[in-house]
Amino acid sequence: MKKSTGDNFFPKAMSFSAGLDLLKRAGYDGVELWLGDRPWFQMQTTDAQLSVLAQQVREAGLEVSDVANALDWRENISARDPAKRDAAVRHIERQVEAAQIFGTDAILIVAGLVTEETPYNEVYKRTVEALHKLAEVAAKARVKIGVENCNSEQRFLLSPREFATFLDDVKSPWVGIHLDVGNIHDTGFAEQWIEIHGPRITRIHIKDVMKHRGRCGDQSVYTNIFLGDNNWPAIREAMRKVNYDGWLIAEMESRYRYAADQQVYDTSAALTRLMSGTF
Amino acid sequence: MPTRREFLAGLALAPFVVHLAAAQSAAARRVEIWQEDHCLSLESAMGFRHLVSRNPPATSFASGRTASGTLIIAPGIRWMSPSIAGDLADRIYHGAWVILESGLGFSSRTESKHQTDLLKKAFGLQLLPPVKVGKNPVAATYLEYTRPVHRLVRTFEAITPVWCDQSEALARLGKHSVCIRKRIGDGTLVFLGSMLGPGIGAEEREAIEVASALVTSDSEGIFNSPSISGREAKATRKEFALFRVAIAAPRRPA
Repeated sequence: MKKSTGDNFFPKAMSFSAGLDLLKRAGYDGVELWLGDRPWFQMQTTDAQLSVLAQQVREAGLEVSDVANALDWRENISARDPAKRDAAVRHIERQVEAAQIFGTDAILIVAGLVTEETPYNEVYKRTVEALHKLAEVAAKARVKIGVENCNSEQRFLLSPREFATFLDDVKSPWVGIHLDVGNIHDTGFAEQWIEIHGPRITRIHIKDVMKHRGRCGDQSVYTNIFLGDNNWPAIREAMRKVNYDGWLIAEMESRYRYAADQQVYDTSAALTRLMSGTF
Repeated sequence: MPTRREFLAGLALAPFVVHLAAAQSAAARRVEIWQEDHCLSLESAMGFRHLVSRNPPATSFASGRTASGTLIIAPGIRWMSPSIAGDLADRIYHGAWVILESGLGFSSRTESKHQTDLLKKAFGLQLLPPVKVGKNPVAATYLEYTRPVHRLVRTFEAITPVWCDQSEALARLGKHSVCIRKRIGDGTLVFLGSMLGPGIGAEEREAIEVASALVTSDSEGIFNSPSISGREAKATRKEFALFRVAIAAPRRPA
């Protein structure tokens, strides 16, 4: 397994190259690049500029683990508004193009947002249809689309069996699950998601969760690895069970108030410990 | 996929629910499922039945199998009678491939002791007292099969460890051997000390892979363990004869 974290984890005001250097010093193997988050990677960033970023990653001694998407929450493939839907498709296509330039074989998307106004059945149908088309794009590029389980935030695909049925309906080996073990909250157990999805897992996001907080307060439900309620030994064993040997990508929502770079080091050490399986 | 409740409700209506009846699978002509009339056995039987009916390699027992070519699956066994044990031992001895799955983890201590004694007499199995693993930490979550394929499979809350020679072990949980394979006469006994059938029915990927490997015709080759010598075979025949005498006149419990 290899360790990665997002470029959105770089301390604020840190440049791309300084962030990469920090990750390398902290012991990461790669970086997850977020489309639409930091200024260096936006929709208007050209192919030539992406090539420069790829070069910088290589020179830092890192790889790009995957290409994530920060724009899905505003413009999603399940939106009723055709303009938003088209924009969402375009984001994902751009992610696929970027993945090819960065030399990685996976992207992360948030597919389907259920709201009071946009009901579940509608979102399901539209999302599956959109992914049928996007799967063809992914197949041509040989880049896997990892649909992230943002269960509580999306109000969509809340159980592992339902997610599996969804992937069955999409019916493409180029569409799998980008599994976030922190997103399951109190609706299930991350290790069981790993068991059920096994070979369909494209990447794994790592973070811990304080289940008792729910999503109603002003405090983040997420926390540092080993500090929350996830059963990490069980998660590690489940990865072993399904022979997951890919990227572990830390995604920290709560940030240190001081010494932000220290959290990057501490998270790297926690990932190493998780990979070692010693608890 | 049905829930466990739907699955069991469906079974209650099935015409084949009989006490340890030999139920012939229509789709797999040379497979017999000897089930008991309790939910554990029925649930597991449904899993195995599903496996052999949908998995083409699992129904190809004709080649590479022992002389009689028959596969007998006895799922979730808790109440086996001496006469049934005798029949089963006889079938193994004459070439059948038998998968005997223990359901003893959920039995009372008395029932478990009685069955343990019977299985020792009938098949030479040296079972240890069943262990509940459900409440234990992660080390007890998965059973590690090393043969016929290397896979981790969820335990079924309670296991029946078995004492064996290392060459016979198929799966372990910590220090315990839980699943083994024994040659008896011309046949083979596979003992599963942790239930596999419910996992098959629940479409647990690794459970299906292990079970498929156990029932396919080339499993004999996969196990890759030396066959018993002529001298050992004679000893086995003698032990078997003694056992047949023993079960003909079972002792009454004191």
